[in-house]
Amino acid sequence: MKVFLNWICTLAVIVLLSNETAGQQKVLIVKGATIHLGNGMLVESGCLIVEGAKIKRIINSADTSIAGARYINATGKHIYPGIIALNNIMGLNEIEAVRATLDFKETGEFNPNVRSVIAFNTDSKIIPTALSNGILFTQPVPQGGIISGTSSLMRTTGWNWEDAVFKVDDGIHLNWPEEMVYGGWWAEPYNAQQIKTTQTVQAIASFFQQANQYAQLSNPPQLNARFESMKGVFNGTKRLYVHASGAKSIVAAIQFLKQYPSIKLVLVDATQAWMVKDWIKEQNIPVVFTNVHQLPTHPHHAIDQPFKTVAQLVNAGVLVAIAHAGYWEVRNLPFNAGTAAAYGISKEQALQCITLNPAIIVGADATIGSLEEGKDASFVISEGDILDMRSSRVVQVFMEGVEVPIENHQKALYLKYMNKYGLEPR
Amino acid sequence: MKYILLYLSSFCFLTTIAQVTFPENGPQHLVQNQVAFIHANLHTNYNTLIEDATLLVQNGRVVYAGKSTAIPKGYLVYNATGKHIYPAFIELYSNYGVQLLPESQKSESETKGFISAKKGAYHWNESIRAEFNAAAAFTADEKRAKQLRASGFALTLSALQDGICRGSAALVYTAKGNEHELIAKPKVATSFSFNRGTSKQHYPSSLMGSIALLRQTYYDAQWYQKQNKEVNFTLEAFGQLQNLPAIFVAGNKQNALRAAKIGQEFNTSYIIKGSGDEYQRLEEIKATQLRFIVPVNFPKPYEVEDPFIAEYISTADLKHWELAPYNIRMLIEQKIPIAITADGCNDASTFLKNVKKAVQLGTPESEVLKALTYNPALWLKQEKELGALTPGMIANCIITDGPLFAKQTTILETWIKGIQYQVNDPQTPILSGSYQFNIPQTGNVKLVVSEVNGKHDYKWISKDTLKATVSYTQTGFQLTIKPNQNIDSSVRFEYWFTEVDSSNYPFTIKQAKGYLKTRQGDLEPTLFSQMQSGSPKQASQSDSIELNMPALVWFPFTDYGQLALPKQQVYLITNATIWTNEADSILIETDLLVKDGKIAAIGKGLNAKGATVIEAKGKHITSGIIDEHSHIAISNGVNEGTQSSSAEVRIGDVLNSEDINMYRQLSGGVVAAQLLHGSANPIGGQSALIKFRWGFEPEKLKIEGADGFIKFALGENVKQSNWGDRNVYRYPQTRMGVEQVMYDAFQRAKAYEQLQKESKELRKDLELEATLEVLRGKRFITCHSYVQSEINMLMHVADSLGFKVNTFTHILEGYKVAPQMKKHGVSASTFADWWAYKFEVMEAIPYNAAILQQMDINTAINSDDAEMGRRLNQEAAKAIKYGGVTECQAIKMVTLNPAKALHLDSKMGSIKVGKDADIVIWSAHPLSIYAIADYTFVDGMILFDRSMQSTLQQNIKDERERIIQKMIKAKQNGEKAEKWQSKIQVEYECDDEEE
Repeated sequence: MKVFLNWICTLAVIVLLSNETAGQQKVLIVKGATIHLGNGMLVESGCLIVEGAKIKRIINSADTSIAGARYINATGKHIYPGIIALNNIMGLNEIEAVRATLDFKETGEFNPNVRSVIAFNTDSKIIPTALSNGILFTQPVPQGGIISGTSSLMRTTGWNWEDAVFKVDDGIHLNWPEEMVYGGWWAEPYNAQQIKTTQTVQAIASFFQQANQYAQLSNPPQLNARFESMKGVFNGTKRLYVHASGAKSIVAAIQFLKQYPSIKLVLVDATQAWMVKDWIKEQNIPVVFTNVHQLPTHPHHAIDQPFKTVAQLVNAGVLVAIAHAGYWEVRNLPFNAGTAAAYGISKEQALQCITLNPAIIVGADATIGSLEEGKDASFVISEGDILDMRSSRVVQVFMEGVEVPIENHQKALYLKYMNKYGLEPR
Repeated sequence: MKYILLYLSSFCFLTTIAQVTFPENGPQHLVQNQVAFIHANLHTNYNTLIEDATLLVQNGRVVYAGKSTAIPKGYLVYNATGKHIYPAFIELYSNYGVQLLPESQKSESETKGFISAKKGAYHWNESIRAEFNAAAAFTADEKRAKQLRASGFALTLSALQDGICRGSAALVYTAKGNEHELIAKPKVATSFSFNRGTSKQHYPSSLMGSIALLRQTYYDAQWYQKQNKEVNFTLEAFGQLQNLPAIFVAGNKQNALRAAKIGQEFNTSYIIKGSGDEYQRLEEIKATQLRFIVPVNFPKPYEVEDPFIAEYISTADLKHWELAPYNIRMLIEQKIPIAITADGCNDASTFLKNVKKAVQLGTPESEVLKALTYNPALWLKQEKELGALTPGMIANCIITDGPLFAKQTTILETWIKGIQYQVNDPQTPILSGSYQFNIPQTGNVKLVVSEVNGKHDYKWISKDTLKATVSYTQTGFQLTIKPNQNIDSSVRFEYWFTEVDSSNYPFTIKQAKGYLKTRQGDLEPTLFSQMQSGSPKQASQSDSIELNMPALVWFPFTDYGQLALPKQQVYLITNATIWTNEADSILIETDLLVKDGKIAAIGKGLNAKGATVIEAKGKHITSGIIDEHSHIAISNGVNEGTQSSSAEVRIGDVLNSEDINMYRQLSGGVVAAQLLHGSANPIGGQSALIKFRWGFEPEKLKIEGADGFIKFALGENVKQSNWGDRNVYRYPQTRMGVEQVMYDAFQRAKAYEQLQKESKELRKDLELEATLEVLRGKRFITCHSYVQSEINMLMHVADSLGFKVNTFTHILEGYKVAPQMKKHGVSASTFADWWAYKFEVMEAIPYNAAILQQMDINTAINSDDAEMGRRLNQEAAKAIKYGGVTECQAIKMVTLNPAKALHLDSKMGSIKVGKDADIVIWSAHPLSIYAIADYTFVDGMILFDRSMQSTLQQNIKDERERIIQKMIKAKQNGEKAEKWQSKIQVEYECDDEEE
């Protein structure tokens, strides 16, 4: 019952805060913090000035004042742009083992028209745990088949998907078949796998050809929902996220898609992108590198290869976002960036891979991704380095100038039992 | 003409004078079987050659072998000038003519995978087939017999190749005839394997299950002999087989060591059927003191032209391609007794080619011959009659056209019990030379026959260049010539020999006569005569032989393996920040001395003569991380979840010392782990506590003197909640049932304890022995657990039976029952932040470790995951983030606390003089995500050194590239390459049912 009461209180706070800001353009000044801008820059001790939903100014001084402003003393603390988690299924999945809670994989091979936005469960118990670690935006991505569906960029706050959605239908996801085949007692015979790969590539080719033809018709005689949804891919209003992990399939996918120059291509997963990093740079294709925390694909590769792949790509000049697949695991995204920082890039560069870079990739960098004048005041205050679990402790979160409570199911249980045992929460 | 006579005569030998039980249709037709081989290069055994020898064979036995030229009357004379005669080979691994007999079986709905489908008083498990009698099942199969003869085998041991216990094997001839006579010896050996074969039963599903089942069967058979309550034909047969030579079809090198261990337990010296990778653990293989049957199916080169595809080929496979042909030599150099099998070779020519290759690569010929003749005979206790060609021996021999191991030599004939079987026609070098042909239309033309790479090349010298093909038969040959490339017709000649010089081998054709057949269908007599004979053989191009081993063996035989096993040294690490986990907590700018595998001294300004100094200013030293819950380094299955209790299985039986994940764990500062059985059933198997001693063999990974642990499990996994609708039979299906399984197991164990005291006919029960150890406080439970109800339940069960649960692992709702856990005195080993993956973890919280720690419960953080296992220091840091434990408490959660939970804290888990030198030097604060392990020490050996990584990677790259280039060259030289298929390494977690 206590838990329930907690939740009621939480909701009440949200309502109060919303009412307060809706009425007047109040100024908020967060003082004395180390401000990580998300674009690679750092203000060591400054003030973040927020007016309404937007960032008014960032000043390189620990103190300032404006009449009527609300102040937060963040001396010794750190401010970060809201973290953007791409390529996951948070909000589409609640309990992995319970089929009724799974909403990320439609049946069939070509589903560009299915849209994750309308299945995004804003009442998921998972999402607030990610928010509590500073993740303010997430991209729920449909899974499975050849074209799995359309993603959107969502806020991790909101009453319903309507107010949670940040950028609707930002892109369509294509799963390129792996060119290498596998053996083992469970595997299909070698030739069968190769034939399947070839057939899949042929199916992709013919689907793209037909969809492209359809897109050129101003008045199609009969509506085709799949092709209709692909129009945005061909006119460049939607990204095409091509998921490929092996070096050979990465090359094959990009080579194939080059024939459609209007497509805005993003490479996702990209496990072995490091093998062809210079070529990817030449093609000028951004990469959503998924899971820094994974094992090397082969025993003969460097034991820490996945840890250093981000640095290799960044240093080659590729635009890289770091993602963490899954749903509950998404809250560990900042630590993926932390590992990338331990293996070859600076902390600010690593932060950029989960803030400004993903914003650029989804086309939302005009308003989010970095703390810059005129951008949304969607930011996070942490007691320490947010990329390091040793010090990451998010204490306040603001979404478009509004403070959002960082309560969650797990914290409520923590408080409930600390109370039961008469212990002081820490 | 002699030549042709020989041919005719050989078909007259039919049978020896012996009585038979079966009738003949027509007059009895017995033929005296007496053959005199003269002028032979006679190899009377594997190391004796008599030149220009005579071999007399009478009624299938050798009666004389020596220099005498006196031939008794009535003998057929075989002029073996230029030929070699060897004892025929004996195959020890084959299922020639042996199949499972169709048996009346129960339907699947009847068995549900629990009971045997075989009706009758046989073993409860189908994979135990001791009653199987290969001789009774044997039926001759000429197609396969021919192939065996072509490989030089006169005899083969035929055994069922199905199941764990395969019953008796028969020694059979590869000759033609009635089975009554083809079976040389029934029940001459017995055989075992780790593979349950075609059994439809669920148990055993894992390698450790197979091992447990076999061990239990040995004990059951011992019991069977002293009891009179049960009739069991399988156990009866098992007992009878014990005196026979026992062949263990083990497979790879690690399985060979596993089989050897079983042999030790039951006092049996198995003959191990290996897989040809024994050289990779030669020392350990030698130490088994066992005999080995090794194959010569050397791998083909892989297709490596596409560098992306080549990237997928494992270095172990690349290296094995290069080194496999040296295996036999290395075994022989170590004086390990071997027999050679053709198993795995698709045909006779591959087998013989590879046997020769082994010789070319430096194996002594006599040793190879011994491995094909004498050793198999000896091992089957048949050496008095088989495996040599001295008087009294059965006349099984092969006749070759040159020294057996010479490249061009072929086996011409295999003689079995004195009867000739043609294998190959004499080679065609007789055709080498140039010939004059008189063809009516065209006049004289010249045919030049030369030999390239063991094949004939034909060239017509005429007005036009003509193409010819030749097929050769016993009496003559056919030539087909396309006279004109523009005309779609050919001229065919049929020739038979009219004059043959057989004084020297190979025979030379002097003259032949024949008919010419033209397109029009005319036959015209024609004649050819030889102008010049014997053009010299051209040396084949791919003859380059590497006598020196082209590469070194790595330990373990995988990437990042080492050239030699590491050794303990004296190290002085200076000026480090040391996290001691002791009362002195964190020491600043302090030195640490490592000596003899132990922490020898801690203090400022230490000195040590001869020590390697490692400067660690600004760096941190912690105890090596211990993972309480891991499933890496396990071969072939982590769950034997087919029964509700599988307490009899032992992870320690299936350690995989070649798992790269051990090295990866070392790179994350992890030095030791409890390798646990999975959580598919309430009572799982026995754990192995190991250190990641990279390079050493499986047995040496085990922590000496460690207590025994066993995995228990509760909740959704054990009740098969998430296994789909088909898995609704195996008990338990509810948490209620789980409690009953636990009670039942312990009640059975108590009853067993009573029997131990009272019964003289005790059947040693491996499952109950392990369960009873728990009751007696000699084995300790690590229990997979999630929700509070079940955690509580198990503590109640334990309390009621008077023992303690040692550790709850996962224990995600432990925070709800912390006071009860404290009272029980149980340790907790939990995930840092996992949740939501199934219903029972919806109340899991990342604050769990902190609450448990604050409630004074010994709390560890574990991985259950090969990837996360190497970042356990970071997982520990999450307990600071969620719940605010102190940094010293956090580091203990992955070092000292798991050491306590595993009863290892007297030697491990803290930095104290006298404790094991299992330490990590970190580049930064060890709880920070930016900390990288620079060095990881295990027992005072540096098993991971970050500064060596680029060198090691370069070495691996160079080695791969060198072999890949060699493969490309091999392919260019005409070797057939094959596509490589990845064998993905399985990373186990608790829920994995089987590999």
